[in-house]
Amino acid sequence: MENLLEVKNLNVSFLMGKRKIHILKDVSFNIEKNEVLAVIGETGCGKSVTGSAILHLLPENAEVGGSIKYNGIDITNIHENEFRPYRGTEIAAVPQSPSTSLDPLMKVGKQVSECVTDKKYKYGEHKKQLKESIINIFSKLKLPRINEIYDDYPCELSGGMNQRILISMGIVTKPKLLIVDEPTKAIDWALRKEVIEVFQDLKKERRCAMLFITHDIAAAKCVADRIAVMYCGQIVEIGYTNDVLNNPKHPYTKGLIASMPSRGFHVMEGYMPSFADLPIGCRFEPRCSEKTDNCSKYEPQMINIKNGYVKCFRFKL
Amino acid sequence: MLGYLIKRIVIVFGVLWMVSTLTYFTVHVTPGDTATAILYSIGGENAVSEKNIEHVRDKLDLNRPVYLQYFEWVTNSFKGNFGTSYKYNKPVLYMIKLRLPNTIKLGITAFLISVAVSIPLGIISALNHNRIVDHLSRIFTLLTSSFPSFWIAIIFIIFFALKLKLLPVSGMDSPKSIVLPAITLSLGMMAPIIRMMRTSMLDVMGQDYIWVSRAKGLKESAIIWRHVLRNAIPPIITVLGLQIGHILGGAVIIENIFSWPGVGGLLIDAINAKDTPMIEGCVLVVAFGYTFINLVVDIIYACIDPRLKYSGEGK
Amino acid sequence: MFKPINRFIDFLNRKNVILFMGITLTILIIIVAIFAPYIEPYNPTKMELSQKFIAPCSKYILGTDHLGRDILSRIIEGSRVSLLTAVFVVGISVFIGLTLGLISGYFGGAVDMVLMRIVDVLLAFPTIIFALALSTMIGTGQINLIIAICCIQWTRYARVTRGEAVMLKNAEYIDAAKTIGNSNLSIILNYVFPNVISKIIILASLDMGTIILYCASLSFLGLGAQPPSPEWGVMINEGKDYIQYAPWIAVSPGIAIAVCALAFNMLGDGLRDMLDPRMKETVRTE
Repeated sequence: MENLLEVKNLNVSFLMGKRKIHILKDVSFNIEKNEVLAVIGETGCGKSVTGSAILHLLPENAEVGGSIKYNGIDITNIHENEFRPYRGTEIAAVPQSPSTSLDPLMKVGKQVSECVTDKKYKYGEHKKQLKESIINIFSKLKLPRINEIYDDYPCELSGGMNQRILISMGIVTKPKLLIVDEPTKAIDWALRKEVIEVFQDLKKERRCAMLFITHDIAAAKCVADRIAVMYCGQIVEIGYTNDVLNNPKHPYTKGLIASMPSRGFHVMEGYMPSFADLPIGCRFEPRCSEKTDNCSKYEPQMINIKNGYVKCFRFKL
Repeated sequence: MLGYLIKRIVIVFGVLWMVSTLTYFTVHVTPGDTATAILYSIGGENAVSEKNIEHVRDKLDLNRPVYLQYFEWVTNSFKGNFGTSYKYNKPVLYMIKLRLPNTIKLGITAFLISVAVSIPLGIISALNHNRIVDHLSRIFTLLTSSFPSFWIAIIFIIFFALKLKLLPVSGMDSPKSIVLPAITLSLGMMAPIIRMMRTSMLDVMGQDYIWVSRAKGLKESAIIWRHVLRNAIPPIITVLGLQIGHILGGAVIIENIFSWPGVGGLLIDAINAKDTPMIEGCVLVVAFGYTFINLVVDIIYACIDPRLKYSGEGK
Repeated sequence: MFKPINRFIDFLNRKNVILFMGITLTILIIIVAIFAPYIEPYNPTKMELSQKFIAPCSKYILGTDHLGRDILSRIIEGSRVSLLTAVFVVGISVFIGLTLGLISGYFGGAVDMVLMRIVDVLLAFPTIIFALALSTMIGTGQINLIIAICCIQWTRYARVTRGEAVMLKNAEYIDAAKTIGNSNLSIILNYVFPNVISKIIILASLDMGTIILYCASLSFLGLGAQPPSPEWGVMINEGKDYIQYAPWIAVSPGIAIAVCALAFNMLGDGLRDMLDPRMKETVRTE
């Protein structure tokens, strides 16, 4: 199948004073049309930075290397003015933390409609039609009081409702690629199922490709076609959802899965190293239970497997 | 919302009552004898005699107990009756009414100048964060907040009035007269506004919802106008309200130097002449005005920020 | 061509130049104030009527005033007055404000209510207006000036301290400290106070400049130090009558005030940059 997004050797570093801190190292993956790729990993491993890098929305002190191709076009270094039309229309984002991601002084309806009206838009929708279509999305997302909610301020809604407003902001423009950042983070368990269903429907009905960033492995399992496991700025394993979850190859993936409450809650020992002070060899070596002598000296190379790769010395085809 | 407003207004009236009480006890109850002070201020040392003192006490009801005098004074002051000036022998309110419009004129001009300069400057330095414009504007704020206004006034007089003879030295005879006092007064209040505008903008620009609005593909100008500025303005309004106090205090000095016939000059004259009712009148008018302006600021704030509707009522 | 400029801006951004300059200037001013009698070229109060209105020259670097006193010596002597006044005002106000703010914020209730209403009432007066009004009761003079400004100034620190204390009071680690049996006093001293003090230090160093300006303004109006004193505001007031033909009398004390205020403003500004993390750039990693 055709690749919608191709990310190759993506490197991101931040300039902090005189020091350069490398966050992403040689991140490579691709997303096919209508495919959902979940990126899982601990907090602070660089998942959101990956999303921001694709959207060209990293802070000013960031440096990006490698290449990002969207629909065959290299978008890594194109100018802001050329890239802006992609945002929102082609690649949209559903940000994390609903409590801070909505403008507190603007009515939520306007914030959603803004995504459409602000561009010379091919939809040419009339204001009233636009409002109707937004309310339609609201009702699909099972928001209550859909007619009044349009004129409410974010502070008048609950966290879960705001999360769904954010989702509707992402899908109102019917983008081809949606970058979803931790959609289940701020939501309680009762609503979590509904939100996950929304994404499942989205995938089925709108045929929208997604980069689904989460630390919620169970959610990833329900939505994703493939899963990429990220550790400390690197993708250590990527492959089909079932393969990764049922037959994990990298020790980190095994650890992550074992730490799930449903799989026994065996939490891994140790902490992720600081980005300012990375080990020389494999980044997971200090915490790894299966390490060899090579692990602390050299970095493991990519070993291709079916529709993905693994980065570990232990892994043999 | 309504409950919040009513609560605010009740508090303001309480504050005003306390303000008049405080004014009464700091100004009215002077350590010396009031009658002696009055006679001294009218006719110098020769006028102070037993007989005259008795006469003044009788006439001004000074023989009655202090609490009665106080009660009457507070009720009167709320009605706007501040008594009769010893020095001018006219009602205090009349004198203040005569001078207040000049102070308001000067204050509003100074306020508008400083807003017109500071807000754009604050926005520009936030948008050019850590670039040369930002540093220049920081130097400007440091300098304007370091030079005393009365000294700047003197320098302006030396240069623009005496050397270049462009503008009048003092008084308010021509429309040009307001230029120097207004600019001097406005310079002193710019720094906090510039600084607050910059901080507030930077604060908002670092918020998640600005990142989100970029992700929506909005134009940079639309983001600045629609999201950044709208969210950066509320804290500025509070600062502007507080800066009115700076104007009112600064006006006393500026009016004194430029012989601008406002309330500030009246207050200084009254202090020098120990004209108690006049001092009280001026101080109260300033404090009442300042309190009401800040009430208005609070109301505006409540109107533009929907969040206050909920948090304000609860507490 | 722009390279040196860019490098300079980079330098400004990375190093806290403002703070460095503020500290240097402040130390310099304090040294001048301490060793004033040894630095002054002439006796600052000695009148020499034959030497009056001498324009700045090599003998009298800043000229002489209408009574033939050397202006440079008077400015050096005046630094003691200004500095001492500002230190006293800020010290006393911080002490009162911090104590009352901690009590009011930590214990809340009726004490808090009464205290905050007092603050509201005092804040209804612009500082200068209140000082003027109070001077009619307690009279003029430098000590009375200090009292008058302190009366308003302490409210600033009380408000900030109270706000912080209220916020901290509800923090979980304070609850924890209570549960393990700390007394209220020890919680205030060991947990609340250290969290408040850095904010208060920034505020106080920023206020030093403002206080110097207030004192000079009120002395200029004739409320603070009285004429023979070499207070800078008084000197400008004396000089303002002669700006036509002897502008130097009024000009140089003003520059002294500005340098002094600037030193403390830079110090406060730099400190805030260093200690206030809100102004630092943050990197969004998650």
